[in-house]
Formats: sequence, structure tokens, C-alpha cells
Amino acid sequence: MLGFAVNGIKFFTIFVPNVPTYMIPIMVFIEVLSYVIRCFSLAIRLCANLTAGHILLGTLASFILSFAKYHFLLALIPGVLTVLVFFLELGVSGLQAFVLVTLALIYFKDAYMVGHH
Amino acid sequence: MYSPVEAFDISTVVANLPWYFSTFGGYSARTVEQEDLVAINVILMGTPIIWGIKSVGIVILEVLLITYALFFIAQPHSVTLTSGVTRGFEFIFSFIYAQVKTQLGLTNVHFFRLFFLLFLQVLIANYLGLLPFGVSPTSQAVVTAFISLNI
Repeated sequence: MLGFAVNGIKFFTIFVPNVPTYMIPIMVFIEVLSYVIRCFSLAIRLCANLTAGHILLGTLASFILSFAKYHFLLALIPGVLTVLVFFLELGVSGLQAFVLVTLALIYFKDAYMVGHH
Repeated sequence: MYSPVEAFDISTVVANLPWYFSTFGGYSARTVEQEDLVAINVILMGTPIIWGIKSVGIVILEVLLITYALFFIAQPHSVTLTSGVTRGFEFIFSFIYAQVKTQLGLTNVHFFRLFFLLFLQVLIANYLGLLPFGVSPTSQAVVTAFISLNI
């Protein structure tokens, strides 16, 4: 919306790549589709990565309790794994935040600075 | 037939253990079927204590509060001495600033505030989910869809 407000009708030129004339209809369709889909891909990437990490930690935490029923020392195996996965998830959290901001920047640039790329 | 996650559900295991074991159950994978968004069932001295979050909005408020509290803490109290939080903020600040300058150029660098706050809020929201008994707003598809559609 900001891109449309700043660039006006020129904003729609981002959907028309520099291709031969007979290819323009199909390319416009593909460009519009990719423009819409990348919003959802951005959302699903972050959500799926975090949910996967939480399920993995949840499963490992459950293993601790399940193994502790048999022997306390046996619970150390999933316990150590949980700690390692926890640190992995700390990294994943930071990385996903960075990926989201970087991709958001690129998409913002495409919409806002029409004709600069 | 149970899935691997359901077969090792914490709440069923915790019920058969002494109360002090229940405090280890920091992460519960079964949050979808429950009425609350996240419910903590701690059995303390034989008495079940249930605490749940019904709305993701409360968690988003938590994220906002923590973000602005960190901003307050990170204010340098002295010109020469800076705290660890301030140094951390400076690192993130310069990191995101470099990204914005590279992508948008110096003329549009005023958009840095938007992306800096976006990064901080997503980062803190992600880390909230890693706290024991914590829930991450960014693990909910509705929140991430809201963020990405607004951008």
C-alpha cells in the first residue's frame, strides 16, 4: 500500500518484467501470484520453524519423564539432548528473526523503490 | 492410535510421578486440543494447580512490555560505561542498520526504526517460547500471517 501511495500507477510495473511481448500475459500472472504467495511463505516459514522446535523440545522433555520412571540415570540421555536442542533453538530463534527482517526488507524494497532494481 | 508426541504426553506421565517431578514438564506439545492456548497443570503436594492462557493477545502484550522495558534498561547511564544490555542493543542496532542501508540506501534509512522494532519483537517473541511454561506468539500462524501481510 505504501508502494502504491508513493509510486502511484507506476507501482504496477513490478508485475511486468522485461520480456518479449507475447510472454507478458503469462509473466504478469506468475508475478502477481509470486507477489501474493511470498507473504504467506514468510509467515509459514517463521511459524513452522518455531512450532517444529517446540514439538521437538516437547517430545524430548516427555522422554525425560518416561525414562525417569525406569531409572533416574536413564533420563540423562534425553536430558542432555534437550539442553543441546534448547541451545540449537536459541540460534534458530535469532536466525529466523533475522531471516524475516531481511526478506521483509527485500520485499519492501521491491514495492517501495520501483525502477531502482 | 496415538502419534509419538501424544504417546509421550507430559500430563499423563506427570500424574503418575511425585509432585517435584512435575516441575520438569516445561514443554507441552499438546496445546491444540486443549481449551486454553497453553495450560500448565502442576501437581503440587497432591493438589493440581492449573494456569492457562486463553488469548494470544496477552502474550503479544508481554512481548511489547519486554521490548520497551529492554529499551528502558538499555539507556546508557554513563557516557563511558555501558551495560551488557546496552552493548547487545548496539550490536543489534548496527547489524540491522547495515542491512537497511545496504538494501534501501542512505536516502531511505529512516525506515530503519520499523525494521529494528520488527526484529526485536520477533526475536523476543521467539525467545518467550523457549522459557519453561512459556508460549511463543510467533509459533501461531495467525500472528506471523498478520505481521507478513502488514509488510
